[in-house]
Amino acid sequence: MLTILVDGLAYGMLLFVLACGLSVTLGVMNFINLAHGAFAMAGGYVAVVLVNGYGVPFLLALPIAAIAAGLLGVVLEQTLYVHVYRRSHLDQVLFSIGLVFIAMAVVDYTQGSQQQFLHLPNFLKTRIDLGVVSLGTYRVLIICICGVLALALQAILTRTRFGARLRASVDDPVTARGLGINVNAIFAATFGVGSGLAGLGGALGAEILGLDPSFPLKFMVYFLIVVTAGGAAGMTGPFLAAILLGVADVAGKYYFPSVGAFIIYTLVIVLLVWRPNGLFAAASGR
Amino acid sequence: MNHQRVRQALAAPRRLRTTEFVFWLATIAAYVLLPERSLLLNETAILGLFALSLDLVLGIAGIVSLGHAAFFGLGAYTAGLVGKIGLTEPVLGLLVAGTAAGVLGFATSFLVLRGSDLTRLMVTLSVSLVMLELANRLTSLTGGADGLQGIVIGAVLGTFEFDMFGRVAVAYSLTVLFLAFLLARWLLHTPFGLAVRAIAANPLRSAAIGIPNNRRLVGIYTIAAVVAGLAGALLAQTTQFVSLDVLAFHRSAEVMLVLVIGGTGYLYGGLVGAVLFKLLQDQLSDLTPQYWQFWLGLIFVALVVVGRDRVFGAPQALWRRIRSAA
Amino acid sequence: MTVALETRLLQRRFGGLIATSDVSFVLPVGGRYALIGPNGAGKTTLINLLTGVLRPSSGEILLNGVDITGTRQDQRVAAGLVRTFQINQLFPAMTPLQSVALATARLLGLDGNLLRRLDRNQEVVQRSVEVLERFGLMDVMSQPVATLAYGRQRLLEIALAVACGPKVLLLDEPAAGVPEGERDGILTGLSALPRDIAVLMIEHDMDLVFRFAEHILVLAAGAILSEGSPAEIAADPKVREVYLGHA
Repeated sequence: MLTILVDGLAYGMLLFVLACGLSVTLGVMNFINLAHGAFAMAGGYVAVVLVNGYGVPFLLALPIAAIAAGLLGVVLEQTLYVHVYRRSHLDQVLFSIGLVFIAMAVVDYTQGSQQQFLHLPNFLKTRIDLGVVSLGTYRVLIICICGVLALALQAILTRTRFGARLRASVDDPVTARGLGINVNAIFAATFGVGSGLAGLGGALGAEILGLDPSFPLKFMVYFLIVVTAGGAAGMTGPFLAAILLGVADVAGKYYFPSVGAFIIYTLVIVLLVWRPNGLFAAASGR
Repeated sequence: MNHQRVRQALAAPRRLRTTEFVFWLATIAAYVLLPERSLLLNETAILGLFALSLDLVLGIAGIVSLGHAAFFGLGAYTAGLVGKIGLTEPVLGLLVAGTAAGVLGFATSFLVLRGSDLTRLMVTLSVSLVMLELANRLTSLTGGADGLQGIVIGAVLGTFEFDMFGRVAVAYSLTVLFLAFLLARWLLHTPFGLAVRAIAANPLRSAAIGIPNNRRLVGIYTIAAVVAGLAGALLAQTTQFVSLDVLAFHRSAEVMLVLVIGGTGYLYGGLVGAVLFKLLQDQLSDLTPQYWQFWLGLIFVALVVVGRDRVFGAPQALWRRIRSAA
Repeated sequence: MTVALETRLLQRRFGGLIATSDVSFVLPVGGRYALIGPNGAGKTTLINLLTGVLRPSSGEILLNGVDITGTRQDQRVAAGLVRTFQINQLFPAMTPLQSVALATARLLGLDGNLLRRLDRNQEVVQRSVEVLERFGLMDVMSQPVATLAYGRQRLLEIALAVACGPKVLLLDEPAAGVPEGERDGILTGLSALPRDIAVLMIEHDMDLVFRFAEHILVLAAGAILSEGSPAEIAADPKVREVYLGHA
């Protein structure tokens, strides 16, 4: 049982790191970016190529993957996304689906359609024995890294000027602009960071999540769940939602294997009907 | 006399335009003149019907749905199963499939009444994913990943046997499409249709003039689900095979693109878009599936970045003028 | 005097904030009442309570003697309580005729109908003509609403409410945003309202208020500060104080 909890925790924290960028995108620009998973996929594949193909140490490949995904995010944001911000939600959906399709096709063409397995370093394949329970080192690493990231993000959000400006932009972009906050620049920066984090998540979690060209679609629903259940204001909502989702998913697949994914999708539906504005969202919904 | 003017003005949108006659004549012509392209014509008709059903939801009622394939797929599997258990008359199969899809539509319609565009997107997507999972697991019923095989389809209305050239299949599909279209067109110009359009335009005001928003939306959503189910049933009956693909996400995404290409809200958009889409797909069909996905994605992106109105602005403006000419 | 609309000790709290404080008033059939008060007095909250957009924390609302406190918005409209909006809420791509015809169809219970044709319904046509003529919109009846001049749109805003066949009409700042020169058109439209409809108008334009209203209610800090004829209100020192502060 404890293993499931740990697995679920690791999974959930991964989901958080993966999805937090999407939360900001939605919160600041009211932009539905269904292509967010593509950045995670990019990070994952970069890591796989580096580790498997070039023998780069895993822990070094992680930041490289993050930076690569982040750069990709910045480039795409400046060239394509900027043109699409003011469009209707339908247009945004079409646009981001298009990006996903392109990403999937490119990856399929260059890397093939089979699932990629990252060669984890040996020290990660061990287990840590805590007497009562033994935990996989890899999962512990995930929890640690994601935990540190979550704390860092929260600190940035609540204690820095940038964070304050970001929160203002999420709360009310019109007023924020009126106050002289460069919402577009803030957004570009957060988009880049968000994509980078997604890339990091993809690289870090490749083994757990399963990396293949259909990754963005497979996980699109999960990211959306984290964002909509958690609400777009702040980090705590998405964080809690991600943990809940991670644990629920792992537990569900373990205890009810024949029902598996059903639980998640049905939970989503129930949740969204009960609270259309998210479990943790404040009264203002968009 | 003002009464006369009002009556005429209210009746005007219903009148058949010359372009509409031209469109349907062209369709018949295509059928007659292109016997060797039966497969393509059939697929186009089915896709057009599917897109028409999405137009009711998206174009008329303004509900952004990413899971419309749920109804298409349910219709397909239902029609397939009906054929397998011995009820081989296709029209009967259509009725059963349409009803099944309608029931699902009705049941899930309550989920899209509340919340933002994103919520609706997620809920509709989740519903279709649930359906896909169901189809995947109930292998005894659906054949799972292998698909539903052994579907037996008899003669339409007992008289028109499906031939091996697919000519009867195309005629069948086109007839169903035409009849469904007439139904949708009729619906659009009823008080109900006007109410739905008002709800889409301004739900705050439509409620303030006493329209029960939710009830009307449930109605249009259910009707759209029935039509989507009919499209799925046509696929099952004319190809005598149903695979999990009918519930795949890309179906929902593609039908959205088809509708957007043709234009939302005037019912012909889905049909026009289907023709354009199928022609495009046909031309690029020698490329491998990965390439098709790439080009499709590129089209989506380009379309939105350049701007739907800029790409289709001229033709759509022309069409609008043709439509509204009194 | 028969009562069209009545509230009894209507109250609405938002946490610790009392937005509507024990508001009791009576609007008679055919009455021409105005509701005035400084910004933040709670006028819009009151309208939202009356129409069912908000639920009261306590108190009752009676329409034609019937308690409607627990009813839904569309039920209240069906019962004859209709409102207009401060910012035009119209159907941009539809025409004035279609909008009015739809409201009429709803009044006749036809809005869910899948079989009938609006143009074949004599009553729909008759009523639509009446409303359009009354508000001078016949000449633009087939133009998309979005293309109309603002003043015309504002008239349509009211016309649409009238087409619902109300017994009580709540007008939320009908002159809002209307240029000085076009305000007379609004007043003409308001004067043309049938006498059997009771009207409660929220307005800031005092000129319009004093020309239209027979009775004025003054709302301040969520409560009714004063009420009376226009002359009484104009002379009331309490009212002046709440608008202008201490002398």
